[in-house]
Amino acid sequence: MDNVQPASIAAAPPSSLKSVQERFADTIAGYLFLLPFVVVYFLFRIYPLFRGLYISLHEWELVGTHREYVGLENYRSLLWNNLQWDIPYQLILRVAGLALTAVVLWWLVRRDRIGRIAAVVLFVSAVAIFAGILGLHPQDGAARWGDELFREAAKNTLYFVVLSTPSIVIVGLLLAVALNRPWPIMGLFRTIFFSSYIFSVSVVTLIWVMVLSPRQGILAHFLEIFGAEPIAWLTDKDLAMPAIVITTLWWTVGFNMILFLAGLQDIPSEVYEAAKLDGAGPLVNFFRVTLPLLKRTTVAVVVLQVMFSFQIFGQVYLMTRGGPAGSTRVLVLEIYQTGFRDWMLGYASAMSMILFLFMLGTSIVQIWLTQEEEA
Amino acid sequence: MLAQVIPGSLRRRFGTWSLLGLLTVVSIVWIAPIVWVIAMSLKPNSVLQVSTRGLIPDPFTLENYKDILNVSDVPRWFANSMVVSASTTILTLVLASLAGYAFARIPFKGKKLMYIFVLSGMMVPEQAVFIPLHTMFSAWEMHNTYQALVLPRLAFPLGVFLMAQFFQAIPQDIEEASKLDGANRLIVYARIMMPLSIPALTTLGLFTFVLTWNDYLWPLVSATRTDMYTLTVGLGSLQGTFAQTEGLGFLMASAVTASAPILIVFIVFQRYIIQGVRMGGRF
Amino acid sequence: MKKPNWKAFLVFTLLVAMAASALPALSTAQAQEGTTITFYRFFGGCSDEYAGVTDLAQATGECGIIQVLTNNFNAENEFGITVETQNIDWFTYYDQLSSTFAGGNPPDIAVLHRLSLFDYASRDLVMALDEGFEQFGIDVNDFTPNALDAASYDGTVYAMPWDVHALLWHVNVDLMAEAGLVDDNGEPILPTSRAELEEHAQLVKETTGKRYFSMAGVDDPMVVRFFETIVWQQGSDVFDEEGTQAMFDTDAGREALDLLLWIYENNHAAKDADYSVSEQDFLAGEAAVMINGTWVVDSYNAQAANPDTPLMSYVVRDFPTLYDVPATWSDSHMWVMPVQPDPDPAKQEAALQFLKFLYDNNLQWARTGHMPIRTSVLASAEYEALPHRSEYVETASIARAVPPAPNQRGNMDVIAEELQASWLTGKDAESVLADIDYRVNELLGGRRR
Repeated sequence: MDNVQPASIAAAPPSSLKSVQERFADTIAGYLFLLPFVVVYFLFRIYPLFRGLYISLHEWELVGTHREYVGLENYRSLLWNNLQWDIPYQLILRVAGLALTAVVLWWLVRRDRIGRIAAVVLFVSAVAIFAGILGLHPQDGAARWGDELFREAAKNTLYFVVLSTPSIVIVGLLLAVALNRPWPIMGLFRTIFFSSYIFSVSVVTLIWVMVLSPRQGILAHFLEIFGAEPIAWLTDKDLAMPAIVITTLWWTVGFNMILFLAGLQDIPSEVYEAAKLDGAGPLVNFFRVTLPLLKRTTVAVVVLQVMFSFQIFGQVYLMTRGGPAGSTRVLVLEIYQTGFRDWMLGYASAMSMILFLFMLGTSIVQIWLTQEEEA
Repeated sequence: MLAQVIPGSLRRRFGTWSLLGLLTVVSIVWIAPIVWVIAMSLKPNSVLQVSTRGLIPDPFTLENYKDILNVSDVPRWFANSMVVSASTTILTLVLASLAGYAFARIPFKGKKLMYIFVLSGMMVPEQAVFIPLHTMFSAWEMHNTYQALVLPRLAFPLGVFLMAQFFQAIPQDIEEASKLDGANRLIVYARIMMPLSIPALTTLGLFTFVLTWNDYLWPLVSATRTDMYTLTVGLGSLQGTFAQTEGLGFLMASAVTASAPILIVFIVFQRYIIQGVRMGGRF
Repeated sequence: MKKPNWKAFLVFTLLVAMAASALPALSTAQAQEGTTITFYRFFGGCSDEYAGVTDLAQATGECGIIQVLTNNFNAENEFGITVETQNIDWFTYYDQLSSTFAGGNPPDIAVLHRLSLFDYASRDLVMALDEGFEQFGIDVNDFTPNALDAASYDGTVYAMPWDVHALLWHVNVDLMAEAGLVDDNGEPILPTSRAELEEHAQLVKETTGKRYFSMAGVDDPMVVRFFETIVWQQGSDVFDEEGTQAMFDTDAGREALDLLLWIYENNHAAKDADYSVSEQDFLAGEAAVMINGTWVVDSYNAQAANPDTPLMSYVVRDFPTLYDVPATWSDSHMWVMPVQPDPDPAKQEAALQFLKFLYDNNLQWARTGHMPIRTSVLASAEYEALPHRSEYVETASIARAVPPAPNQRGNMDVIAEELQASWLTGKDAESVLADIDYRVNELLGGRRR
């Protein structure tokens, strides 16, 4: 089972003995088995993606009948409104940056630190960045460019991803390592830490809005014992996002813990016994044995966690509504409000498309980076 | 690994006890909010208006739960969530196992391409397509129906992936014994493969159930009649600022009522979770 | 593997059975004779608390009164009409209402704010009601000028106004007395200028250690209402008359923001208070003045009568004139009848019957503290006899509202967010006001650029 790879799906089982007729029957059977899923999948996942692209090329109101084709206008408003591109703009810096990248890449290839294809890909992206994107700048006299709200929402989302991903992954890993012992009591701990994952987002936010409340909250009651001032977590612009991260950690870390536990249980105990004979302590064990062997699991957990984090909506919508002062307004909330409060479905769809591309890019880079390292 | 358990030395024993102590403290902190919420749900609203202190419900009342069962929308929302989650789970299991079986066991032309096509869907998050989905269901005039809440959830490529992984791992010779045509395939799938895959199905089913039960964005925009709300949306709707100043006990009791059944399900099935993740989820 | 998992099977069956048993019981309840119309509103859910109650005297608060009015109509109307309430929470109400229009299944009657009528009426999403009102005996001429204005778009009446609600000062007289801010008759002394306001606030802080104001500062548009009131009191405005241009970045706007900043930076109102916390503070006797709307008069009056509540002597005042022109922020709740994809005359008639019933009972709604929309009710002895009503008679004549314009609800969110940024994040006043103008103008244009 350990050798099961996605790729092995494509390898046909020994079928040399089969006749043409049998193979034809197999093909029919295969597609018949796939049919129900593929129909649903196409209709509710693939088609909507293209329909979203189509809507994003329109001025398309949620209610009423206003639908007007506007081409890339929505994307222009979002991204490059009031921007212009010049060759001479910051030319020295741009050329220097490109040259430096080229030198570094060449050095890395010479030293066999990265592959040729990777170097070419990186160089092409460097050209795109230095020659293309960095040549963009606000038009003369224009104080604003693109959609500031959208950029702010993207920034807030990234901030959430950066805060939540490492903390949730690391806490999940630590819990899994601590609980990976065959003692009966560990089953109880596992149940406790996993149980918060099964609550609805609205139950979780209800609990945490109460816990964090500076007047009624259990945390404030606890701090009071030590004479400390209660903290207004959700109405403080610096603490609101961390509070949402804490809530999310409590809610979802159990899922990561389970994935790590599953990974840990596939590590044969002989490995640890061998390490023990070498006189390795628990810390050495963790860094030298456990972590390297958990690499595949860790990659999967990180990729999944990043995907989940980009999609954050419920916690913010129910706990802060994007406030205070817009400090927790994240992309999905912005999309929801643009679509359902302001009725601008076309514009909101354009934002969804950018979110989708952003997530796609991030996961491709992550997977590519880890494979690069393995290779 | 058993070696770690046996206290070989004093140092090791100390390590064990401090680990246990640490875990105990952390887990107490972990469940303290839940205990507190349960305690509040058992107190009268008038007491909670003055103070929300204390993990012990004193004075004690069941009034909040009586209100929920007798007059609130919570039972209706619970029933909606149950219908939606159960049908989503069952249909997902059927669709995913059929497709997973095809990918794992049937050699057919274009399989690799189809597999890539299906897996690429994992990259398309629900949040990226909820607006086009909304316009589709609007055009079909199907909002505020169970179908609208279930159908988009069925396009779940991860389920196909997990089932394919699982079927791959079952030894080939079980079905090689008999020559297979299309009809026989269905029989093999139903009679042999299905019973063998109960653990995998349970795991996939559990996760599908939990994910559907907790789904928020889609039911929020699709269900606009309060009697079609799912529990997640319904409980969210009770949390508007104006509701919060009154009926705190009621609010807490509704959260407990909403979570208790699924918590029981989880405790009954929990051993399948790690098992199943190990079996199918070696990513 | 062969052994079936009976335990799992049992639990599953049990859960499905529970779900199934709950469903038919709920769906059969609606099968009734006559016409059923859907009634889409916020105001909170209390069908449980008032289940079966039809006696209007028993109802208190917005939720109670509208629920009992509905119960009463359902029980006693002679046409066999059933009004089916869909109570939607305040925060998602408009999103969900929009969604019902998009899905081709709008309700028969929905509540709207004056602020939002433009979006619906300008797209012909709600029915013109002049003829229907005439036919069913709803007298448009009895609407107060303010209410008629609120319900009209382009000279046509599109809604039945239900109230005019405005910003008031809710005063804790005990705290004011403690600070020496009462006259010989024990009436609270309110400021007549910004200088006096600053003096009073300082005085309350020094003598009582409590805050002068309690006001929802986060997650709520209360500060927007306060801001607009202060701008209007200076004889200026926040929109041009046609509602096509935002003009927050003016001298009056800077003064209003400066006053808010002064209040928050000197801790005369709690920075972190949301709506519910601001209410708790006032009821707990932690603030001398609560800035809130007409909608809470009835419930604060009841709270003050309760010996357990620290707030004991509660009075209401018109928003004092701190600058040259008396003004206070206002809005209106009103009922509209959405245009249906498949119009059903029977339902339209039933909806108008219900609106007529509500029109006849406008006084009941005014019990909450809102001002009635009928001139005859406003002048009636019954209305005057309601508690505290004599304390804010001026409000009806000084009430102002923002002009009809696109996306006013989104605008309100934008303005609130920007204003809060000035004391929560230290964003400088100049860019706050410039950003409000920029962002609101984008939304007024219908699309962000």
